[in-house]
Amino acid sequence: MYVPDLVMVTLLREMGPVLIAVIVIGRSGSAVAAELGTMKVSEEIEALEVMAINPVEYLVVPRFLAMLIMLPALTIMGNYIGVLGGWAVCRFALNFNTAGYILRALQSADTWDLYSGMIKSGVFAWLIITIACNAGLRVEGGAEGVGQATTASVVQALLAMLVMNAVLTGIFFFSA
Amino acid sequence: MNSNGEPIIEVVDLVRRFGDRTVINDISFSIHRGETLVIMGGSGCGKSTLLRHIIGSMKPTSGSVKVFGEEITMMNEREIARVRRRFGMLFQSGALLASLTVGENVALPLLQHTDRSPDEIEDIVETKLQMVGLSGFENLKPAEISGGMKKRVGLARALALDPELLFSDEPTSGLDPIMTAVVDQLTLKLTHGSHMTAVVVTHDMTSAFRIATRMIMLGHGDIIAQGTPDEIRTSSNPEVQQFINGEADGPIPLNLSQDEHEHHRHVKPRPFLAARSRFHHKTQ
Repeated sequence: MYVPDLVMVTLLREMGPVLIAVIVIGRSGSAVAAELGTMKVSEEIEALEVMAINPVEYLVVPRFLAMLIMLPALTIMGNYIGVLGGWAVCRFALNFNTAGYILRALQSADTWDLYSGMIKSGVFAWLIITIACNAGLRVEGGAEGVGQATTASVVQALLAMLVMNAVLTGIFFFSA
Repeated sequence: MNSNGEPIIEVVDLVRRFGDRTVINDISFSIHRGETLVIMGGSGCGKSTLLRHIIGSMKPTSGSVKVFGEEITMMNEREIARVRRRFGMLFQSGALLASLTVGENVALPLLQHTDRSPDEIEDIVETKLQMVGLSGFENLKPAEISGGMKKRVGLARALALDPELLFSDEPTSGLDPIMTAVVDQLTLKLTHGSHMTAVVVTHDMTSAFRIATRMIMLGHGDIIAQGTPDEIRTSSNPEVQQFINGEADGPIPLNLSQDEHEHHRHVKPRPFLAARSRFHHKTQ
């Protein structure tokens, strides 16, 4: 049975980083775009500039760092939970024994599987937060504009993330 | 530092065009230390655009704007930021950061631009909030206070760094008459006592005549009239009289053209609406 192998390799390389990124785009990328967009339309960004506070330093940099740290951290957590899910299926539906699952799982994956996933997750973090902040700070025209920017940021981030995932998988595992 | 003789703000031949529409048409004036200049004019006359040129957030088509003796139109972001630390600005809506409390909003410029200790900052915040009649409101969020209160917090924040120059965009709109008087007196106290210079954009004529040492009235991008409050009050210009007396009938046109209006809102005409209006046209 190759279930543990399948779980480990797909999870660490692909499913972990991508699914966590999808969730974070949906809940945090959109939130950042909406928050910055609202600040833009209510003159808050302009007020910061006039107070000689650089809005990029004050608003974007902390969000960028938070995303850069938290997306890989969440991906690690997601990987753990995925492995646990794989174990539950093997143990209760397929009647594996626990030791066998763990042994097989550890043999099937190498550290590069994990690291490649972490690198992906870092790159996704950069993409997500850049797109979200950019969409938010470019909002024009009131509540309608905020809604459009939020939608645009989610769609753009999802597309960019999926394309980037294909590119990185190509570079990591299919380039000679 | 500037001497009393040298102007704090000097605007020379300022012109700003958007496309082929001239919003500011060759305006020149200067403001000296301790003066309160009131800029008046109907909606869409270029007041806000003029203010944005003085604070460096818009670049003119031609002309020069000197603030504290330095040419602000030629500066890069960093240099503009250096000049901006010396002035405070009150926005029309207050423009408080919604995620921070009232106290944190007022403390923000102090935290960003000074090395004061948290205790000192707390004291300053309390003093400034007291000045605008809002002590005890430190821990509320902007969403929990009224529009007029937000504006007063905005004023406290603008004054946090004890600026040499204060810009106010409609400081008294939305305030009750008593608070209007309080804010006016505060402006007067600061300009007389601390030699602060104030530039106030307002529609409130009572307040304008109370605080102004000099007034400028704008219309169609030009200065229609300027002078002391007395000169403005006795001006023979019918547009000025119509404006300060708030009369509906007079030489000032009621409607902006469609073109100007579209421009004013910075909104492009949308194809759907255009199509719809064509449709209506046909069916008529």
